[in-house]
Amino acid sequence: MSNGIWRLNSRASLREGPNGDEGVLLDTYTADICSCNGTAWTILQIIKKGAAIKQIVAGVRKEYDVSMKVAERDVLSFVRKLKSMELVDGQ
Amino acid sequence: MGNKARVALTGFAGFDNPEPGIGVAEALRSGWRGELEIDSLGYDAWQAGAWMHGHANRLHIIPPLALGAKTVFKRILEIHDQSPLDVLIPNLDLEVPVFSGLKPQLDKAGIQTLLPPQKSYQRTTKIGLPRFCYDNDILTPTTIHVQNIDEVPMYADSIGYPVMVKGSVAGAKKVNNSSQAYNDALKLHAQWGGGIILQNCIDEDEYCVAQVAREDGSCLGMVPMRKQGINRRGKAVVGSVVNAPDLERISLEILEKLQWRGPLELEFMRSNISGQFYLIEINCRFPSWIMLSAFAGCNLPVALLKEILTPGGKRLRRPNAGISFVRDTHDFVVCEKGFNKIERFGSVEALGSFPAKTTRKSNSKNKPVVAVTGISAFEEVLAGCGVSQALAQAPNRPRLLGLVYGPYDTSAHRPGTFEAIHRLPVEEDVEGLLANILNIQKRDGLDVIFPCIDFEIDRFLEIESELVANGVKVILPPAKAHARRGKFKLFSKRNKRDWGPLQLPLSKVVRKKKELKAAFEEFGFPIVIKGEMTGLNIAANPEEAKSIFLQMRDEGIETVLVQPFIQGDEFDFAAVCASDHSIIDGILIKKLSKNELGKNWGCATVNNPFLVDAISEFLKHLGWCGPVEVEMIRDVKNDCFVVVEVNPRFPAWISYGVQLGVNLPFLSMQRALGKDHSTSASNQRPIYMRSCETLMADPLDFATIATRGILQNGD
Repeated sequence: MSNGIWRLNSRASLREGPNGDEGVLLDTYTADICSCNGTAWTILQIIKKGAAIKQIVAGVRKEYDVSMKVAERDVLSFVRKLKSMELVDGQ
Repeated sequence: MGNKARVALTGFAGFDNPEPGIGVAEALRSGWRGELEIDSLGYDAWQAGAWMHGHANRLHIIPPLALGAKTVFKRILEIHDQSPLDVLIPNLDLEVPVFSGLKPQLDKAGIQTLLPPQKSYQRTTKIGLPRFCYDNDILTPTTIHVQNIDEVPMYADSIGYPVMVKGSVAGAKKVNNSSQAYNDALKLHAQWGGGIILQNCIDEDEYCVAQVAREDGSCLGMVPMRKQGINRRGKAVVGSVVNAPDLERISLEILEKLQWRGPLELEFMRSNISGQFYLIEINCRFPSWIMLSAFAGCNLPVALLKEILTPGGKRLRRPNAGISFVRDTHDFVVCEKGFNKIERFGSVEALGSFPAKTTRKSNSKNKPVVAVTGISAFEEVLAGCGVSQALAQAPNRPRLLGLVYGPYDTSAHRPGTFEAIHRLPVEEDVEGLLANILNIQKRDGLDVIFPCIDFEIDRFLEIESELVANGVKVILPPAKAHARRGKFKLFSKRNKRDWGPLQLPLSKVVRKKKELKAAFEEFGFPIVIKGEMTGLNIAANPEEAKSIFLQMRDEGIETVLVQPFIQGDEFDFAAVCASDHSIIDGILIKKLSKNELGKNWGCATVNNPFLVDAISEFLKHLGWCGPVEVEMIRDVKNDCFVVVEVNPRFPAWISYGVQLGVNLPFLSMQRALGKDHSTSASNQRPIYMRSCETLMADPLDFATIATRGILQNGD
């Protein structure tokens, strides 16, 4: 997994839910819709602006009371998933 | 010319497979800045999309294309002479070459068009397409044009299954064996002629691209869409605009190679393995989902009209990806006078249709809260669509909740009808259903539920007493009466007696091939083969009967009912019965326009007190109470009304009653709440019609319904 900056690419579009703490990730190439829980939504908000894995993990820990290990595992798993869906670019 | 335009459009019919003229009119109305008059040109009076309020200014009947281009042109000139047309946009495949051939005459008369030359058109036909793809290195599935229908099984076997069987002009069916291939080929060949097309089935994602080409063949605009919700008949009911640069590139190349002019739709399958797009079809006109282009900020019909009136317009910007459409239906009435006028004079001003008067939504806490299931037109129009429209039009409308089973239940996306949408569990566990409904009651309050889908009735009957104990009334028939109306019991000896003009048909319950043979040997052909809950097929010979029987078995229908097919007009009676089983009020209609499934898309009331009395006696015999629909066919041979089905709910056309002064769902609701409500039938006898309507939807709403199970109106 690249240590560089990860950023959502032009295929990805985010739609915020009514409460602002979760929402929908839309793959505009396939029109596939992914409903995102609070953690996923937090990660997406950080990646939208572009961030390194370390920064994303720090952002998740700022919002949620989780250990570094758990936060790292969740972030890496989610970014890998986004990569397999071709929705993020990493430098 | 300014912004004033008078446009003639074709393609306003088509039932639940709507012709594209409806979407073109919707898009023009939503995006044209200036005065716009729309004249619809159709082949009979049943141009439902044109009658729908706000679409067409005038309706005209034109002669069938089979009478020749000269005859068609003569009629167009007649219409043009009465009030000049500026532009003509044909929206049906077979019309495009005819009007393209008439271009010099139309130009001379001052009617402008933008249509492909004949040579380009020929490349897009189902028969010409494989050659065009081969010549231009365009990926397409293996396709064989079979002229001799007897050779269909052989070629279908060589391609492998599943295989698509397509008519030479329109119609397509995915089949799984040679016998199905042969039967569907026979039907499609009988309908369209010219043999049939067999195509390798690439069972992956389906994409479409709508385009408009300028006079010089260059692209004026394009909208790529992925079909997201496809019903059992292969029709896209839900779709979203996509941002797919590779698909756009391929589409531009195809447009250039076709040397096209005017509107066009390309249909593709995208292989999930290779990611490559396979061109499967080209349609020489706008698609029926074209309103999506307006929702997405790239209104192609408006761009076409502008280009025809003032050529050389700038290329449109890309559409907004992610915008979705849902195809729902809308019920309305047309005044009988207007309808008769077009039938007798060939043209009519579209003043005869009037919109349903939906009363303003009220959030008053004193209003009853009513939940309605079956609010979808995805597979077929379910009764909840009509029930909710009727309740929404009541002068003292209740607060409405929509109960759905999935995010693609179409009316859930209709703005202004429901305060909230709740998803019900699909599992058969009634405890889960009860808990879900009690949660809805806790959240939104709930006084009355209308179960409107046949398969739900047993589940709701099981939990009815607990719901009532919790203050929720359920609009249902009694369990015993419901059991007696089941197809296998309804036609049993117990119910056969002299019902006057009402008659029960000969019937046999069939579980084995041997029993099927005995049934058709007794009844002869044609016969009707029905499942207990779903499925209705007509067989004309033993082979077809066996094939249908096996196909229904594959679909999990083990026991079927076989009856002789009866030829005649179809009638429908909807009513509410009191607890003493007498009819409180009812509506008797004659179906005037039906879709390919035989469902009512156009009807009128009829007056037949003898028949209503007979139905009343029959319902008393069944011990009925609550809402009911009795479907009948008038046997032309003995003039009797043969009962086809008794349904434990209102029919989908029930909102028609509102215009007749008989709002039966509202009557049921009031009685359930212990309130008096009397109906007062009006003297008006308007014609009922139904047409498709394209609604804009937000992917967020799909996700919210799917995951949270609740969509609050305004979320």
